[in-house]
Amino acid sequence: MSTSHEIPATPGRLTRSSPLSFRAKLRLWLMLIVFTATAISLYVAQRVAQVSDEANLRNKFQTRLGYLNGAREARETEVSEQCRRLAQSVRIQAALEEQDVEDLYANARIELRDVLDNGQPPAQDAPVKPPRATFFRFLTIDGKLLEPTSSSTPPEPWENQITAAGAGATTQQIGYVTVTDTAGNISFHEIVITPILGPEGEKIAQLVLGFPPVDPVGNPDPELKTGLCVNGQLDMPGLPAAERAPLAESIARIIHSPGNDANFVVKIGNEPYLLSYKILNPGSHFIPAYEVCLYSLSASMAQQQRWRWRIVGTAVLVLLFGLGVSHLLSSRLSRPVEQMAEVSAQNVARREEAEAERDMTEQKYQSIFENAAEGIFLLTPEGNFTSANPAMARIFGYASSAQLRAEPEGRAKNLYAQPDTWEEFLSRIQSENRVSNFECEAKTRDGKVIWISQNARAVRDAAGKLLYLEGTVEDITDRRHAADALRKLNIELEKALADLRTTQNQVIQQERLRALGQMASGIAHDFNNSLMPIMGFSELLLAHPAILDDKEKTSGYLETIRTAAKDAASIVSRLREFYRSNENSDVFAPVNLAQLLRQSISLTQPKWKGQAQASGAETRIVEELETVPPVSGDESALREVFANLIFNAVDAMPRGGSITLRTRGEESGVTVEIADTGGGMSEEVRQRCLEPFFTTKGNRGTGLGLAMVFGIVQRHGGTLDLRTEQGKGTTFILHFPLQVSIPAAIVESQSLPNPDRLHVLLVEDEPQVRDVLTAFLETDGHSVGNAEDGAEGLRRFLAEKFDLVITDKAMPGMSGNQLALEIKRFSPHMPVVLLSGFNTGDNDKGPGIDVIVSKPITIPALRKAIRRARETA
Amino acid sequence: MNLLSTTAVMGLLGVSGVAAQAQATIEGTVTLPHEASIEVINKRYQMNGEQGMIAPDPPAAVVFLEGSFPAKKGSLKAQLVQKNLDFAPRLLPVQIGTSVEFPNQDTTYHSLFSFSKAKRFDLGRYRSDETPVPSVVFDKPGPVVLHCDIHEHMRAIILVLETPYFAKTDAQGKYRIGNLPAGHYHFKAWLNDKTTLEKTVDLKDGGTLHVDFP
Repeated sequence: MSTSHEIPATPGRLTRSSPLSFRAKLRLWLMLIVFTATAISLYVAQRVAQVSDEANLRNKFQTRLGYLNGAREARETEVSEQCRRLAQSVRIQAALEEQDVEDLYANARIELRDVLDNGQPPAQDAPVKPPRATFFRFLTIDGKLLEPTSSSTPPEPWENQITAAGAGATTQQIGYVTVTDTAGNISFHEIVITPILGPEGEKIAQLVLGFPPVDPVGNPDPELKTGLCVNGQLDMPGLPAAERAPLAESIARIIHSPGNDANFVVKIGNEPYLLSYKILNPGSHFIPAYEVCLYSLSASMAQQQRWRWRIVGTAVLVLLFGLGVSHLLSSRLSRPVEQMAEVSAQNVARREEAEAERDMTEQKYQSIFENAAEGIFLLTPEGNFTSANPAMARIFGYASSAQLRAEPEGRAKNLYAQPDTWEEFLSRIQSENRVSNFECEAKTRDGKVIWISQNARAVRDAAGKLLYLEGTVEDITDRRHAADALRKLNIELEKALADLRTTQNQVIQQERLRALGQMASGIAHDFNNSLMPIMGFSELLLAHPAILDDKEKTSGYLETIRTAAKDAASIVSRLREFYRSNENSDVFAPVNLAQLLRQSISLTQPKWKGQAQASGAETRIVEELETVPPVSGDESALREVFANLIFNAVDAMPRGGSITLRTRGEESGVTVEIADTGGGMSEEVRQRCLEPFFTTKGNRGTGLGLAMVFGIVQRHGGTLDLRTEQGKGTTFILHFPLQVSIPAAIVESQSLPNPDRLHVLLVEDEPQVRDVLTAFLETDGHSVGNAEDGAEGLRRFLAEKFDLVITDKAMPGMSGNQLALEIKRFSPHMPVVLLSGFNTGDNDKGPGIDVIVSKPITIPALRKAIRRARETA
Repeated sequence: MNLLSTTAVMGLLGVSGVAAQAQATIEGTVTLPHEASIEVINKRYQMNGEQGMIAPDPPAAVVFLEGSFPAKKGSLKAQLVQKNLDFAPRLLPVQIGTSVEFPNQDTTYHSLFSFSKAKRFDLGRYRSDETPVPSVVFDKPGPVVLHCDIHEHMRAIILVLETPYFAKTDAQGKYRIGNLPAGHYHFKAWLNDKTTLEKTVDLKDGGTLHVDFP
């Protein structure tokens, strides 16, 4: 049996041991009951059996005895009747009158001939054997024997016994005399003495008749032995002679014992017999003669014993069965009881726990209820407060919750300032079952108007009828006032903000303009710087055509020219940077930062060499450029970064110094360091140096340099760090990862020349640009058709079959966009590439334009544009 | 009273004296013992339509003068009848030598016998229509108790007397004997076989003696 949780063993609770012992107890009790029941029933059965046996025995005995006795009594009655009759014999009376004894006996012999046993056996067919007297005598009234003179009736030896009895007897007497025959055997003869009455009814003599030993009448019962006991002598035919004397003694003792029970148990020869005696001649003057009956008990005892064993056996079986059943029952019964007990124990424990929890919860709730800052209430739909906490009362200006609740019915309705608020509230509750932040005005007890916010919930019964509302009330008067004030303030603030914004915009604009102005001058300056190599080297080449033969030198110069041109383009793009940063304009390719740094150095040479020299300070450049792996980046942007940093470094060292440039290759990428030995930055400057418009150069600085640097570094996925020490110098540490993970940026693959040969329509009003582009396209294998403006372009387009159109945006007459639209009208799937001198993104594409590229365009960019346009169209 | 009556008798006798053969008379009363009526309900024989109780012959006594007198001559005859299952009379005084006849006047048998020493006889059973009617001569003095073998209750006594001078009292016990010789005699009253009262009387001729017994 498992329990879900521990049941703490506290007094009064069922412990684990109880269910087990319950079963044991139950079993014990059941066994006890079974045992007791069996024992009782066994005892009872035994008693009953015994008693019934005894009763049976006695009944049998009595029946037999009765039978015997009945027979005997009948015989006795007959005998005595006969005697009486004989006693009334006239002749005998007459003879007695005459006192003639001789005659008397002579007459008697005749008179009594029916009774006297004359030696003849009775008739075989006689139904009943009549009693036969063996002798007769006469007695005088006082019992003296009337002796016959003749010897025909010989005297008997026991005659004296008769005389004793006959004395003084007035009624018939029956007795038994002991006759010992010659062999010494005792036999009892029955003697009947009958009084003979004279004519006046007086006794004149007594007739004595003797009957032989009683032959038990038809005693078929072998178990029942009968006999006579007279004067302590026993004559029982069925009994061995040896037993007679002791039995006679026992009988004598029994007879003379005071107890009156006629039935005794005697032991004869170790066998039990039931002894019954009956006096045969009650009231007789003879000595009492008893008929003794012995009933063998051995058989019945044996049977009783057998029965007893049978009962015991049965009882044992029943007991075993009962024990088994009790065991089963106890198990069966105890199991549910145990479970019940367990469950109930669990339940008790759980209940107690639950109660404890509930109490705690109650307490918590009570605490909350009492101490809540908000009013908590329970309302009936009629508006009566079933319960309200102190806060509630307080809110409405009552001293206590009791006071509030004591208010007349429906008070809740009248708490509101507006009369229909309650209805609205109630209807909201009815329909939605809850109301949140129901803000309304209410009246306190004193009539003060307050604002309250109500949260209420409907509690319904099973049928859906609204029982009551429960909820909270908050006094929001202050808050509302505050909210109002705040709103007002907000409005004002917004106004202020708007003004500020405007001002800011204006300022920014101004700044911009100023910055632009500044930048323009800077740009102009830088542009000039960039132009110088172009102009210079190209002039050089033109001036000395001999150099053209030196291909290497020539390419070098051309290279430089190209680079410078690129830089010029990038300088222009700074403008772009100024008003909008465009990520899409980055062209990412693997760049070698060391190389880039060198280029930057050479590009910025005029500045650091020229400027410094102009002021008399010497600026040294230290290169510690290790071989680094290429990183993915935009060449020109990075060159600008480096240039800007170099410029800053130069500006930071007005009296000269050294600028150290380092590149270092690491696992995560490449680290570039640009360090100067300038004045360093103060803490404030360091913190704000990357801020746009923050400059230490006064009016000369735009404040956008480092911001731009930071922006570019970020776009490359890198980090910018700076170390500075005032008076010592500043070091900028840039780290570029090997992979640029900018999701928006599309890593440009090396642009490959288009495999197809296209017939391209080029519409450009600027001849140089046109020339350059034509050169680009033809170098790639395309054929080009030119047009100077949009109209011509259109004409040409319609006349010839083209694969692609490249058009300038700004053209006199039809603009590029317009042209594109027209082209698209004729050939919707014609790819159109728009060239734009402005900083453009894909968003500036107009309808009809597939790809927009900004000038100056590089070959890769052109290729890419062509490919994209063809894909898109 | 005895003394008085005796004196009276003496006186009378003295007066009458030696009277000539004038017959004396004695009269008197004998107080008779009370005799209960005998219940005759016997299983052994039926009473044919007769009453359960038989009123027997009322008890009487016999008074007689004792003495030796010359015997009367002639044949003396008496009768003792058996009637209604009883003897009538129950007491019959006779002189010695009387022949008593015993006619059976009942419809049933009777069987008379007596064991008495004065006369032992057994007549056997006889019916009323049998002839001759049995009779017995009584020649010895003394009471003779008569029984009926069949009917146990029947009992009669014949008192055989030597003297011719006797009389049976009536139911009340009164008697009167006349023609008595004068003289001095014993006068006896026989009540039953156990009781005989005796008085001596002196008889005077012509005198009447009143003797009461006892």
